Amino acid sequence: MSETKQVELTSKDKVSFKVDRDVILMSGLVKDMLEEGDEDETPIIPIPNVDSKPLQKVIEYCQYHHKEPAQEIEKPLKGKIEDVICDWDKKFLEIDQSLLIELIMAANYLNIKDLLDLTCAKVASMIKGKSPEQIREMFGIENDFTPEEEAKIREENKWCEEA
Amino acid sequence: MAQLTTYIPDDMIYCILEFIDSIDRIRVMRVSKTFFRISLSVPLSLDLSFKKRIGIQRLSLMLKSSKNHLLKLTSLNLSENNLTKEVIEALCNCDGFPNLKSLNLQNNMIHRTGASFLGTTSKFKQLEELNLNSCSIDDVAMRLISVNQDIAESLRSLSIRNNNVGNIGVKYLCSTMVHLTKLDISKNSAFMGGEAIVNISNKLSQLTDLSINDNPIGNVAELCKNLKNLTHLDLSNCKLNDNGLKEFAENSQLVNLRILNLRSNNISNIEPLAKCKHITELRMLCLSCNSIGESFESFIQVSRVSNPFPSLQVLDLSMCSITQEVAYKLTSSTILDKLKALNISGNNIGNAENAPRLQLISSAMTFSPNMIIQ
Repeated sequence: MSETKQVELTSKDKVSFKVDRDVILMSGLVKDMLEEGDEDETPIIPIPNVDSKPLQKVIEYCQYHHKEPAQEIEKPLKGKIEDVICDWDKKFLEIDQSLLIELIMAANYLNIKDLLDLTCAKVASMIKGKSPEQIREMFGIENDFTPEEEAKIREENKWCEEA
Repeated sequence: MAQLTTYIPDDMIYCILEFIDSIDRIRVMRVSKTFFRISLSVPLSLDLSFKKRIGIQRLSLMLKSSKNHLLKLTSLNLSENNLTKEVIEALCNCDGFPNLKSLNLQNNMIHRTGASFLGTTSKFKQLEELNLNSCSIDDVAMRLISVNQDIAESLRSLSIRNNNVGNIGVKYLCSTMVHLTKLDISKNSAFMGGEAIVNISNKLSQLTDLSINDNPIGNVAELCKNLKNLTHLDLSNCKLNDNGLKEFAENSQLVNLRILNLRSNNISNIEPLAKCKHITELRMLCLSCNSIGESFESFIQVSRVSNPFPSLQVLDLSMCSITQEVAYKLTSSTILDKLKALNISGNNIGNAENAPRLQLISSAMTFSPNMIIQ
C-alpha cells in the first residue's frame, strides 16, 4: 500500500507540523505553493506569518473539514452562530479571544475561506446586540472620535439605537 | 487582550461586518473611526418591516438624519408600517440612498397620494425591485407611478398583488415599464380582460415570471403568443375553462416555460394539453382542484403517442376527481418517466395508491415555484 504524501509546515516560531497533503490542500496558499514545487519530495513550507498555536488549530480544522465540507454560513447571521454550524465547529470555537483573532489572520493568510467565514461569523456573533462601549471594552478598541464627532454620529443614528 | 482594529486589517473587519445585520452594523459605526469607515463601505439591507417595530417616529428620524450612513443601502423593507403620506413623501425626497435597488412597501396605504410621490421622485434611479402588494393601488395610482421615467427605466421586478388595478392600470404599466422580467398582478379585484393581456403580451416581451392568479382573465391565447422568455406562469384561480385551455394549448409558443400553475380553474377537459407542441421544457405542472378525472384517461392515451412534457418532474393532481381505474392507467404513462414528485391526494383512487410506480414517486407536496428543479 502506498504511503500518504505529506507536507511539512513550519510556523513563525519554528515549530514543524507534518500534515497529509490532501488535508492541507484546503489552503489556497499551500495549494499554489505545492503546484510550483517538486512532487516527489516531502516539501517544507514555511508559514512565516502564523504562530504554532493557531497553525495547529488550522491543521485541526483542515483534518476534519477536508472530509466533511463546511456548510455555508448565512450573511448576515439571523440568529446565533451556534444555530447554523455543526457540533464539531462549536467545540472548535471554544477558544480564547486572542486565539480567535489569530485564527482569522491565519485563515486569511492561508486562504481558507470556510475557516475565515467561521471565525469572522463568531466575532460578528460576539458583537451582535452589544453597545459600541461594550464592543470597545471587549476588544480593547480605543475610541478615537472627538466628543463632537461622536455626538454627531449618535444623533444621526438615534433612530436605530433602541430598535 | 487582542485588539481587533490593531491586529486585523480592514478587509477582515469588512468580512466580520458582513455577518452583522443592518441595525447592529449601523450601531457599530460609533465604535471607532475604522469601524465607521468600513461600515460605510459594506452594502446594507434594512428590514424595518412591522415585526422590527421601528415605528413611524423613528422612521421619520431616519429619513431626516441618516444622510451619510445609508449611502450603501441597497434594499429597504418598510412593509406593514402604516406609513403616513408625510413619511412616503420624505422617503421619496430623501437623498440618503442613491444605491437603493429594492424597495418593499407592502401592506401600507399608499393610495393615489403616495403613488403621486413615487411618480415624481427622482431619487430612485437604481430601483430594480418594487413591492406594492396590498397598497390600495388602483388604475389612477398605477398611472401616476408609471409616468416616472427613472423607475420605468430601471425596474425589473414589480409586484402589485392584491390591489385594484384593472385593464387601464395594466395599460399604463405596460407602456413604460418595458424592461420588467417579473410581474405579479395577482389578486386584483378589477377584471383583467383581453386588453390587459394583449398589452402584457405585446409590451413586456422580457418577462420571465408572470403571476396573474386570482383574476378572471380573458384572451388567454394572446398571452401565449409573444412571451417567449417566460419560465414561470401562474394562472391559478383565473376562471379558465375548457375553451380557454384549448386556446392556450393551441396557441402556446412559450418555449421556455418551466412552471405552469393551473390550480383551481374551471377545467374539465385537459386533452388539449396533450397536443401542446412547444412547452417541451415544462418541469412543474399543477392541475390541482380541477375536475379533470374523466378527460385524464384520454390525456394519458394521447400522450402515449407523443409525450408533450418529456421533462416533467413535478405533477400536482390533488383533488382532480381521478378515479382508481385512471390512476392505474397513469402507472404505465410516459408522463411519469422523469417525474420526481406526484401529488395525487384528495382523489378516490382506492388501492391504486399502492401501485408500485405510484408509490415510488408519490409524496405529499405543496406546489411551489421555489421547489428545486434541475
